[in-house]
Amino acid sequence: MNVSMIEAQNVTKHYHSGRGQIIQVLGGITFTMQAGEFVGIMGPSGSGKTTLLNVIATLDAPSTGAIRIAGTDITTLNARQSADFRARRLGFIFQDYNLLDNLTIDDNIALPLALQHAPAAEVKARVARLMTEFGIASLAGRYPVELSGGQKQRAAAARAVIHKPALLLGDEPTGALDSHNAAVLLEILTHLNREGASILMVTHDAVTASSCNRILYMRDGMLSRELRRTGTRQQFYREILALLGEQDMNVGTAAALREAHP
Amino acid sequence: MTLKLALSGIRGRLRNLIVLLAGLVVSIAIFYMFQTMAWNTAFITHNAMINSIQLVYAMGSFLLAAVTLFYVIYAGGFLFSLRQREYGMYMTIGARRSRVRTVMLLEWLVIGGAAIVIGMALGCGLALLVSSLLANMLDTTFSGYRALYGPAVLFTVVFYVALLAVTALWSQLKLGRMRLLQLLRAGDSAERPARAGRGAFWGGLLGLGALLIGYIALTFMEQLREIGLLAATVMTPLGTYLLFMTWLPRLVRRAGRSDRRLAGIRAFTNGQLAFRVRDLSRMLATTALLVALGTGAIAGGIAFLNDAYLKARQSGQYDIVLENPDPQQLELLRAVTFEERHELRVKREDAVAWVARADLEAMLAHTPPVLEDGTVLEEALPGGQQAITWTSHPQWRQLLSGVLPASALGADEIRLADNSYFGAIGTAATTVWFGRSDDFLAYTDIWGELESGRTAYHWSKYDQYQDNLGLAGGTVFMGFFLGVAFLTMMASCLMFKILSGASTDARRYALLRKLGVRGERMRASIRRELGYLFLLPGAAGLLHVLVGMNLFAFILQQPYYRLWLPLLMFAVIYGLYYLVTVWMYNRLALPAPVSGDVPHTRQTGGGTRYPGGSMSRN
Repeated sequence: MNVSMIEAQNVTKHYHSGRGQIIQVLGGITFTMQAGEFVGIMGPSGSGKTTLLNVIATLDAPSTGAIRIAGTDITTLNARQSADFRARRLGFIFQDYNLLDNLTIDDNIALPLALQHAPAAEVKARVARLMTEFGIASLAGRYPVELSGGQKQRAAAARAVIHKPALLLGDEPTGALDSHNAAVLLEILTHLNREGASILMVTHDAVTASSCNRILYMRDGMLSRELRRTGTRQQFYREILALLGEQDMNVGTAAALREAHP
Repeated sequence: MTLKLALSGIRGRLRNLIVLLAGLVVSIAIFYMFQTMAWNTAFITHNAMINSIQLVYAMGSFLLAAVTLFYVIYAGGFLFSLRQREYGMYMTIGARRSRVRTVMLLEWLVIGGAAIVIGMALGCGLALLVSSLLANMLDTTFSGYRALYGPAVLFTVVFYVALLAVTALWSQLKLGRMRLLQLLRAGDSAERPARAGRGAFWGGLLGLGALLIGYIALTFMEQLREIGLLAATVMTPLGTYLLFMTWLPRLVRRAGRSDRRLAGIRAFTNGQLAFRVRDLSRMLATTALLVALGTGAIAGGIAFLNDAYLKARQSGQYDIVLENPDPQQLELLRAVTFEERHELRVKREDAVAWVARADLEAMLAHTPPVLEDGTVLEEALPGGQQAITWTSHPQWRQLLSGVLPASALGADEIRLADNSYFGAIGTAATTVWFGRSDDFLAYTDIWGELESGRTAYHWSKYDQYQDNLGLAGGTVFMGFFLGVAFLTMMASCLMFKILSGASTDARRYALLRKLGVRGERMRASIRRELGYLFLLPGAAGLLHVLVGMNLFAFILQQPYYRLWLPLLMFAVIYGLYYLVTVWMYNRLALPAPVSGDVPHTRQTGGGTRYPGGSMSRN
């Protein structure tokens, strides 16, 4: 199956600073993600990962360029349309879970479906199934504050997929989890991916990144490297580590060079 | 540097602080308006229709002071909640706690000082405006009332300075108790709605019982007297608090548990309500009581006014009585639709006052003779030219005295004459003109004009009306002041309590936006949520008023007459506060709409913005 999920064409993003300067955050990004892919975006902080994710998530508009997601040109959507687009086609997992503390876990998970006015019986059934699938069935009726970080993130994952989004977006989804809980979540994501979910996530963690099929490495608002998984996860993990080391070296060398030749 | 931090803090949150300032200004203005009355004892005792009016004012002052205290504390809490994170940040970068305290204090001083100055000015202006408006409306003057009243100014300023100091101290203590991490994580609430236990059920039942006793006491106040007054004052608030604290959270949760809650944004709204209602329940009960007191005060005042109207309408007196009306007066009378009018001719001959029998009989045919005690005189009209004196026919004599002109006063006897005899009497006839219009109140201007310059010897219906109106006017004025004071304070209290939660809600709405909830649906959710929070205490308070108006049954003829008017006034004030709160809340809690040219808040990095400006999209 070779349908593109994301087609980004020369996407840029800049801000005007108060003093008339222009700050370039994305400097022309072009990439394609196929449906069913599990893609990770890596890069040092300030490289534009989160901005790229926000732009793809329709939370932020690009300055120039075009982005199509599942066939929809998201750069032409108005505020209302992009809200509806997010509600129907996208699922989100955030580093800090972002569960609503005023709703129970089940209500949190049900929210995206409820917002689409799905029949109550169907919503209930799907919430129950997902909670069982993600190992949090015993937490029904609890509030987020009563849950551990891992449990919260699994609930957040359930919320992200309950409405069967075309694309699942993650912003450092394992960032706040210990290694055990991170592993559980990655298993869930891998499982979802095997069942056909397209996942795009920002991460700086090599272990997390190694569960992807492909890594896009960003630097200074540009895509600088791309890594495809060909062998086992173990091998991919080592390749990622190598890539990260190499990039760090480059940064170090560049700095050293600048110092030597001011 | 400290001052700079404080001022920059104020500038940074100017919009929110303007709300806070406006709230304080209104509170000061209202408090002052009330004090101009409360301290002017000569005025209130002169204008009161209730003996214990001083007590009412003492109570009113106390209640208003209590509400104001809560109000200022809520306002301070609102400011604190806005600035918490910033204080935390100052401390993270090494500012000493004492430094942050000074920053806080300075901010509070600037805001408080500005509020007192503006508030006092507004208060004087309002007092002047309201008193002259009411005086115009009621056709009287409030002699002795002064809009700029020294003792009131002094008391208000002293009171507010003390209050602001207490609030500052309270915030300082709060800051002292909070650890740095708590400040930085302000709003990451760890509370969850407690599940109602068996105790809540019995508590609610107890509350219901207390409320019923209170209501019974209000209804049978005349029979129960002091015991009733005590029972009503204690039991009604007790019942209200218990019910709001126990059954209301259950009710809200139960309402949210139906299958309908799973549809749309309602799921979020209900969760939000269930989450907040416990925290707010005491506030809501207080609001309900203040709604009751405020609306009750306005309604009570207006009821006295209505009573004056009712008395005028129901009085058996003729609307207008004129002696030998001149052409000018007759011209004025043409504008009035009369249901009944008579002319009674009278001639004075030495000690005898002669009355034209035909005229009198025509009058009596229309209106039977009613004695002072309200019974109809059974005795037939004396026949022939019998002398009607205080000894021979005392009751007829008394009745006739009431209709005779000035010229006939002091006559020893009254005799009735047929037309031919009457015409033959050599003295000039005085014609007394009587009229009963279709609506006395519709022509009060005309009555006033007709009776102006009259040398009064009869206590006319218009005189009676003016007198009642004057008495009621003072009560209306006071009731109105008291009521408006309560209502505005209460509504601002509720507003601040709700608004102080807005900053924590902001994160929830930001998340909803990410999940793809349209702005208008979030706004609808806020409208609905706040609607309930306003509606519940509003409805409870109005129920109290509806029952409580029975209280006036012993002094007023129909306490419920035209009750819709004060209720409407309440609804308007309350509705305005609701709208303002919704508007403010939207601005505080909702994320900026994501259109192409609004700078977006970066998700990581704790809410720092991209360096200013707008971003363009080509």
